[in-house]
Amino acid sequence: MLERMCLGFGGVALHGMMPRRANAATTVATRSPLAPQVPHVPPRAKRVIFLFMHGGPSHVDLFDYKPRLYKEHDKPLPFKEREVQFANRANIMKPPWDFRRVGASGHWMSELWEHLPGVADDLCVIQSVCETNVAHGGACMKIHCGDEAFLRPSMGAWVSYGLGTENNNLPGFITICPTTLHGGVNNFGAAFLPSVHQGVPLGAPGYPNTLAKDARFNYMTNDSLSPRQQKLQLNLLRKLHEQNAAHSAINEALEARIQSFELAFRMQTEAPEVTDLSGESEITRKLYGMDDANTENFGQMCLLARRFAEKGVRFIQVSHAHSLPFNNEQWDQHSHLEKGHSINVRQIDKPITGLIRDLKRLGMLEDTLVLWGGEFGRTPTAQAGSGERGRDHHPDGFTVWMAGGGVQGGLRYGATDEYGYHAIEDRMTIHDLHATLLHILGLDHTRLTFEHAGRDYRLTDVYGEPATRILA
Amino acid sequence: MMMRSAQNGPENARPTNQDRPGSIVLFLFAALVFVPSIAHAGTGADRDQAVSFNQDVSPILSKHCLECHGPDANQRKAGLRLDLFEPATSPRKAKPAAILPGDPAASPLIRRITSDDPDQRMPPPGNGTSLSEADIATLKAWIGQGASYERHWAFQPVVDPELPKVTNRAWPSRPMDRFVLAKLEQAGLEPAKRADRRTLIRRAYLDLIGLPPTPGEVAAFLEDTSPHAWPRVVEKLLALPAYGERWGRHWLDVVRYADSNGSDENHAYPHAHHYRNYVINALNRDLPYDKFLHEQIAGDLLANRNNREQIASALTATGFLSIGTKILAEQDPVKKRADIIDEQIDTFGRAILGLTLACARCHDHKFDPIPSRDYYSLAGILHSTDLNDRPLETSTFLAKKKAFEKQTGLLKTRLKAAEKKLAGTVDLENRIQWQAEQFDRGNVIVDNENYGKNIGIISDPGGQKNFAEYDLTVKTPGLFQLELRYAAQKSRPGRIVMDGQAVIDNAIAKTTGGWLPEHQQWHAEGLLRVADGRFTLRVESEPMMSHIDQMRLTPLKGDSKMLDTLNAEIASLNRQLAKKQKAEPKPAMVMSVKEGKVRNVKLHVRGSHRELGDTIPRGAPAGFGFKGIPEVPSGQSGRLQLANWLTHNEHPLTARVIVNRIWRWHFGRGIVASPNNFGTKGQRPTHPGLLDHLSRQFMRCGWSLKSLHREILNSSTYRMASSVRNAVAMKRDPGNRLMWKREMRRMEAEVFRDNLLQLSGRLRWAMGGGPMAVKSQDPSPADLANNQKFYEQSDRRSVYLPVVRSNVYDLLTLLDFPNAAESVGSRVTTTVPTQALMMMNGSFLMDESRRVAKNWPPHPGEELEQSLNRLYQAVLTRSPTPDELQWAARFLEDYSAEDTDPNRTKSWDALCHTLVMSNDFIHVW
Repeated sequence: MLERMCLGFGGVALHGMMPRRANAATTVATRSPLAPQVPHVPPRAKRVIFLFMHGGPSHVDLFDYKPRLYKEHDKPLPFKEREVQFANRANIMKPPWDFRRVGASGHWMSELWEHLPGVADDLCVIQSVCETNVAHGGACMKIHCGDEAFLRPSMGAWVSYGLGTENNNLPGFITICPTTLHGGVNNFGAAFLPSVHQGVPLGAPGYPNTLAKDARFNYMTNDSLSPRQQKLQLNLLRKLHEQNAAHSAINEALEARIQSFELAFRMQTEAPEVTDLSGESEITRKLYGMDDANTENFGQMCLLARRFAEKGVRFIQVSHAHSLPFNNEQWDQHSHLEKGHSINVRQIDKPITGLIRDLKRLGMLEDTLVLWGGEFGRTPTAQAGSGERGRDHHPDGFTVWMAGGGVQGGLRYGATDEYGYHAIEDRMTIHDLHATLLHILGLDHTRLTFEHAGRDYRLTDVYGEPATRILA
Repeated sequence: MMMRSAQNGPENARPTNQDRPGSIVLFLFAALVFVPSIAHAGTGADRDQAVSFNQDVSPILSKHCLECHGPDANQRKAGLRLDLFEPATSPRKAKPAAILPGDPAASPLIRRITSDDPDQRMPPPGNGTSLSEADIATLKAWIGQGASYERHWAFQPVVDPELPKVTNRAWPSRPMDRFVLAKLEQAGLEPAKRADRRTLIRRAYLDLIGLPPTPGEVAAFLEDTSPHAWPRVVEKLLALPAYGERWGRHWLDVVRYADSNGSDENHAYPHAHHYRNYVINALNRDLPYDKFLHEQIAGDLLANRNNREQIASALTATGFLSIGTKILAEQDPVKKRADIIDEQIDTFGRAILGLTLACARCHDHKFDPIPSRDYYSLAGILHSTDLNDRPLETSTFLAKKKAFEKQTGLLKTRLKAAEKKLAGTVDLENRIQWQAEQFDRGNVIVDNENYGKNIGIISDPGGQKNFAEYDLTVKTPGLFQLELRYAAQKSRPGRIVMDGQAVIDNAIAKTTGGWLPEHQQWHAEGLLRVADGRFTLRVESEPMMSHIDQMRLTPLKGDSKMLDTLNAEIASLNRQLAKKQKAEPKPAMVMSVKEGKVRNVKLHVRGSHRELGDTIPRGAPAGFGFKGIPEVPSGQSGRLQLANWLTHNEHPLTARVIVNRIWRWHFGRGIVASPNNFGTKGQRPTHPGLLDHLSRQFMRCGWSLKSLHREILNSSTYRMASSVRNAVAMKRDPGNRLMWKREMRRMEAEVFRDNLLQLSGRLRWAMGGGPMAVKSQDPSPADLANNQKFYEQSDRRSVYLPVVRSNVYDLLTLLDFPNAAESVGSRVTTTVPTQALMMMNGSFLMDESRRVAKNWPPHPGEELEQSLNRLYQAVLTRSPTPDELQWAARFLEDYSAEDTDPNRTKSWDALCHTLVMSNDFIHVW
């Protein structure tokens, strides 16, 4: 049985020489939707690790240095704010931290970052991300799925659809400890794409989200039957099936179903091995901060991401999405900016730096794209109200960064105005960001389409332009 | 578009020449795709045969040409339009006509599509589409035959076709069979033999009610040799309430039914289930489909309703328009409204008309004659319609309410009299009044900016035991009336404490319609006896506090004894009333719609609400050729007119679309394989005459769905066997498009679960059902575990399980329960290893299998063969074959040999588990 599967798969891979695109006139008879695909353009990266910072990290406090905010602290913004706001806003607020230049490239980072400066020259910092929704829900759905109002496939699902998988023993798209807030499972859903492309959660989705140490794949074990007993069940299933096949027209759907049981049986033993970290050295654990209570959880998630990447998973999302005692969403500091962002940076700083270093060490950074970012940034103004001060949601200009995957390390791309308000230089809309990400993976965002409800859908709708200048 | 059929469902299935029987591919977590091959009836037409525009040419134009040369004027390239005869065959400016009827060789169109020059070649290389040789041949043949255009088949009137002539006169049982047989005879094929009676009765039960026949029912049917045995079974099943539960669920797919919002926020829809119950009930009483649609579009407006139950039912039906997914946190109200309406139009179009109307939000439809104006004419109707939750004033409720009012009326009259008396005693001159935020001690917050703008209020800072204390002085002790001024959208009751003694319970409990300064109102909280001139008044509430602005104490003058008595009487009456009011009957609420502010809307250029064009009058889509709505009266939204328009007997789509749906649900594939898309990009009907025949008959029978079921069930087509060998047919029509046999199908998720519960003896058969009992909004892993437990322990039919959008019970999702975010006309059937894992390891399957085993156990002292026979009869509606007996015996033996741990599953349980996982069980033959 296993031999047959291997043969079947290899055979199919030979056919899989056509890129996925609208109405491609292909001669391929039939094949796995997860069969590896040949990209549209030469790929820079084979896989993505998306470090999602839920709640909206403040670009003006972390990466986007704006001296005017210090000078004009507590003065009103000299221009009118956007029409649709989430909360009431007050005067300009200076960041509670100083900025300094780091690395040979001289990226600006606030002093909050202790470890990240060590890999600064690997980062391509994009400071002009814009055009998303002002509320968490819409913005989360937009950055994950490209639309703020309707349920669309997640970018991980598009990548899985566009590239297939390099390892049939694992899903093409895994999301580690996802949240159920703000679009929840839609943010890793396949929507109208075949369900095989949807993100498979490691750890039950939830709010608060599952801790890395408790994260498991679902339905992977059975306490009531031994493997040998299960094998007997499968043998009987096959016999019953073959009896039917003998006296009726052979139905491939029936055969496929029996094979899926046999495959599932094999998976039970193989998948848990990837999530077993016991073989990782003490040095590696330390690199990810797993020896420190502050960084242990996120560090473990990052290490799991690296292990999945090694095994050929196409798209891995790690969500930094716990709640803080004074905020519902991790990075959503409407108040307590100083306290909240300090805690948040401390939790991720070492693990993500460790991840980049580890990928580099393993030679994987060159074909793995690491994307860091939240659903929006935060306003340069303070949020109205008393108490510990914070900032409102800001969708008009904010920062994400990429590392690896053939992007230029040390590059700063795009800029906001002097207040960090509007993206004014090399504007990177969410559609552009998606087009760029697909481009890095070798996919032309205008040709990666799926026909549904009478039209060809794309991750980028009818917009988007890849920012090819960021490529090395 | 590289994946089709088994994965995408027929919505996306398009017969192309690469669809050949394929190998099977395997991978982990991945679908096992089976792409059935497709008969190419009508495609790649033979050059000698007449080419049909609708069958052969239109699909090619739609797929390869119309995106740039179609109805959408803004996207049109080179001014060339190919979807209509006139523009396609007329010279444009200096250029010759693209098509010269009768002369393919000279037609520029043919030159361009066959050119070797990449600059000339159409479609342009690199745009992802190219014509096959067969396509080119078809176009040549069509132009050679005169390039005649037809109106798209689905927009032509439904005409009752003549019954086709057939050679085999014995086979047809119903007129509809002749349409199927005629096509088979043309192709030189024979219909499959009739299925055996065990297969038939199982098929009928699972199809019509979604539950298996009991061994007794099977035996009774086998014994009934009369020719009426089969129609009798059909009648019996159609009359069962379980029919509505099974077929109502089909309709719920189409209308994207769910119990929660499922978008950015996943709040519960606590009233949605009334709509579900309405659908089940409507199907059970065979509410004519035209009425069914009327109620769902305009149930709130229908006149001449003679009883309150009908009014309530029709109001509930409008849930069709209101149960969709909405982006709740959108901060731009104009965009939010437009997006909600877009969702309504999308569902309306696909569910009822089989048209992708929503494509016309941003531009004229690229493939179908649906201009953007049509979209905004419908949008105007929906902009004039408001979503709202409304009470159901059924006669039962009104009777209860009346009785209640009678009970409380007397108390109220007495209270009013006492209060009137009291009002005469207030001493306004000595009233003391103060701002709530001037408290002496307290842990509440003061808000002068948001909710307290200009007035200043106190409220809670978050959940806690809130209090505010005021040290007060009055000149003359005595009896005082206490009043508070506050705003509260929800009741946040607290109490009043005086010098450490609770004096008024259930204070600050009123609601005022909102939280804002404009919602502030004075409320009398009760009377206080002040014994000493100095005292402390404390206001408490937990965990939240209303937004309190001011407070005042007004002395009462008069004989103190009289005032005391009065005070005691009022307090007593209030207590009695409060006690009674706890039992106040509350009406059921439904998600519905009502007429809103009537207006026409402006065309949104490129779909943007910030760039507006012409004002479009409200109306129905008229671009596809059926007459529109004359004019909507100025005071009405137009929903009533829209409903009438939909169900007009000459409407080309409404009846065809539902008849095709019913066919799809009975056979697994529609006559039109894309039930939600009857447009030019949709599939062509395999049997157009059959569809029209049934549609006309359906309307003649008063739009009765049960009549349609009867017609279909009693046909010979329905009763064909599925497991037949027919090498010739397999070769000529491997996809079974011509229906030479019955197509075997996997049970839908709900049928699988319901059957399992029925066999395990745990199914509790009760109609109706309440709201969600699971958490949808921001669930924690523990909440999700509780939800899972709720689903697994539920003993109700699956149709009553709450549908939490985007987080549906995973047993259902894994077996392809649809995404309730949008209308689904054809569920897909996928085979993924996660399904297998759930079946092998999931506790629900394990537990239910154990119960099946307990329900159908081996009896002491009997032969194993007897035990197995009983079990197979129950589970598979048949006896085990000799081989199966032997295998089962062997399995039990081998399994027991492995059974070393007493806590592990026993062999008979494991056998039952295996049987319910088997292909035989989960497929309907």
